[in-house]
Amino acid sequence: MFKEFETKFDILNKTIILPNIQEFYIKKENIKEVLRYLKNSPETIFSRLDCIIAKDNSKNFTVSYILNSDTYNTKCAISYYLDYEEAETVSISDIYKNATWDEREIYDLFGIKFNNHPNLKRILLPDSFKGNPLRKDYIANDERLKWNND
Amino acid sequence: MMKDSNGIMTKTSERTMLINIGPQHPSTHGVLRMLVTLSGEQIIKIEPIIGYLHRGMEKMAETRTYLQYLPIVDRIDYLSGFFCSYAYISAIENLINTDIPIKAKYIRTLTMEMNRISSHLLWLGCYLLDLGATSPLFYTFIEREKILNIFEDLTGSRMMYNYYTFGGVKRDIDKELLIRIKKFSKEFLKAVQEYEDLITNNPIFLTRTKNIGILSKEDATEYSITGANLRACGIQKDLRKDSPYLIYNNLEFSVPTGTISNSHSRYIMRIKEMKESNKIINQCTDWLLSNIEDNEINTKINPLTIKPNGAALGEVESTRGLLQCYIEANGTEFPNRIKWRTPSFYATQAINTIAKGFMIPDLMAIFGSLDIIMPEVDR
Amino acid sequence: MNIILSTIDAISNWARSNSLWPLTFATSCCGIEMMSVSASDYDIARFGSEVFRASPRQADLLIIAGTITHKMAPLLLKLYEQMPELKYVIAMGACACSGGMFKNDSYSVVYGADKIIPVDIYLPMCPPKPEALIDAIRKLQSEIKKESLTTRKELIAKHKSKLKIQDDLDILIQEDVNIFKMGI
Repeated sequence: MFKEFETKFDILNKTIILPNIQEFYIKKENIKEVLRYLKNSPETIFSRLDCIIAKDNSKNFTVSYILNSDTYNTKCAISYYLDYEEAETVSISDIYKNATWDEREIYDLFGIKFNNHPNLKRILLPDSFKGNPLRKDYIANDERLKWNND
Repeated sequence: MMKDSNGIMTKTSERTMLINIGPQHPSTHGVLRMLVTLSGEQIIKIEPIIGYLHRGMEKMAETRTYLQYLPIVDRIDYLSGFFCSYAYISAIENLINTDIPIKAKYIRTLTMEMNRISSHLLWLGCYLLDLGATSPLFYTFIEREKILNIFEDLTGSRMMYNYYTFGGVKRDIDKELLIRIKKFSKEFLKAVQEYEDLITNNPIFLTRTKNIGILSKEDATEYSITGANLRACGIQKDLRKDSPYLIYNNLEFSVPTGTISNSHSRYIMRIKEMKESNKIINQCTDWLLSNIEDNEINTKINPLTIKPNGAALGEVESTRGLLQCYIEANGTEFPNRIKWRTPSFYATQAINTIAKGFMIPDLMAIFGSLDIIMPEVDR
Repeated sequence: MNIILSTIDAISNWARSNSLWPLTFATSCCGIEMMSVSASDYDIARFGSEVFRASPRQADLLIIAGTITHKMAPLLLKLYEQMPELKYVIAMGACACSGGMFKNDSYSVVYGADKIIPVDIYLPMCPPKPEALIDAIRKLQSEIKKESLTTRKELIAKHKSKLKIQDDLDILIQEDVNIFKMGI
């Protein structure tokens, strides 16, 4: 099912998410072309984006997109790495509409910025919260936490 | 001619008004805040603000072992605790590669379908309470209390069950309870007939919900909406039929679909789903009554030895849509990352598209028919 | 003089305790058990709580059912201040009593509703059964019957001195107004 896709783009690594989902690692710059190709090509019509997952591996970030196809009844995952220092990438909200809130949640909890996003601000935590909690080096230093003392 | 908030003169017909439907409201199904822009009584734009129930469940998983995280999982969606438990446990059973005995599969299916019925009954009572009718709440809670009493005799608790474990279920189900379930299922058919006689052809209900809140097929796919909201559009997508898990292969049931998705048809979908779940319950109890001497419900796994490696995705067709749990493990007893994909998050995102152009009294009729619950949105 | 006052006390306490009207404030799982208490099997209308009011100006009992987070805390304080005197508070469930199962790890939960407003009755369990909530309301009714008209002012002053996050409240209200202004 992925034969043409593998010849057209260069893939750094392939793993499996159990039970039977293929995961492809690509370079960060190609992400928009890859997703447009996978959405429109007739051998793999991935018409919906299930969710966007961000992980902190203690050395760098990983961002994964899980795609779902109605016609062929399969899923696949596309991932890439991001460095700690320049945690910036591009937003895909013009390809799939439900990516806006997922990207806001990742900006809120991890601190990764998405360029060309229509409305990038915090969504789950209060607007003046300090810090990004889901990072591994998060230290709790917000003012509201002093209500919990005594 | 009037002055608006920036001091600029505009015509009276171009003035808009901003209303806050605040977090404490009897019919927002939890704590959701909406900023609604109105022109007269017509809605121009809705902006939902969430996060008033964010408890940090994904960060809590990084300092707890797999067994210590199990009681917390029920609170992700408290009305369907068995489904959330199953999504987490099936991901771990994929990682450590075990099988479960067949009696445990039947017990899991039976409890999940009864949970589906109890969640839909609560939705029905609260939806009609939002529209102004106070009687159906009292009717539906009678049947719901019968289900919760059965669960209390089986698992020990009315709402937070903590009954599934790695490799099966914790306690066996005995013969008296199965006979009670069969008796409940006969009375339930008569009760559903009573609700339909009371509600479905009521002229006030029809005027308030027909042609309100239309969701098109393209929007449903773009916003990744699943569950009864999607099946009312006409797209046939149900995880129990597409890639069957547990023993849905051996059961006979059908998945209802509609033609156009408005508030009235979403209500009809859920009534039909309750009747199909009733059929599944009957088939499961028949099998369990005929295999009552089988004692194997659990492949015994020592939870202190669970140290897997790799990534897994566990998914289940929950009462509100497709629920997924993604686990990444790194060889130690603590997971690296757990992520929950919940269906209500995407349904709340799409409310601006669905409710644009209707009047403000229709807003609660639309919002209630989408079956959204806030701890799923905020986690 | 005291004979007249104690009879008036008895009548006024009896009238107030047998008609406590709660406010619909449910954030989380305990809200469902609160709804079950008001429905057909466990009926709370026979103890005097005939209706659940939606507006805080018309209610005199606040049942905090569910977890309180840092984003929700200033709104809880605003609701409490809008209720007329004399008012009572029941903290229902483990999360409202002390933070519950989120106490050690969570970064955004207030560890107990009594860090924000004064609480009269604590009701543990996760979630409490409907019979337990009825028991808590009966205990509150027997506490109300011991009050007296002469000590009313001291009671109100003692409750006001326990409000804790008043200094931070101005910043939080400003944040709220900013969200509203951005919508225009």
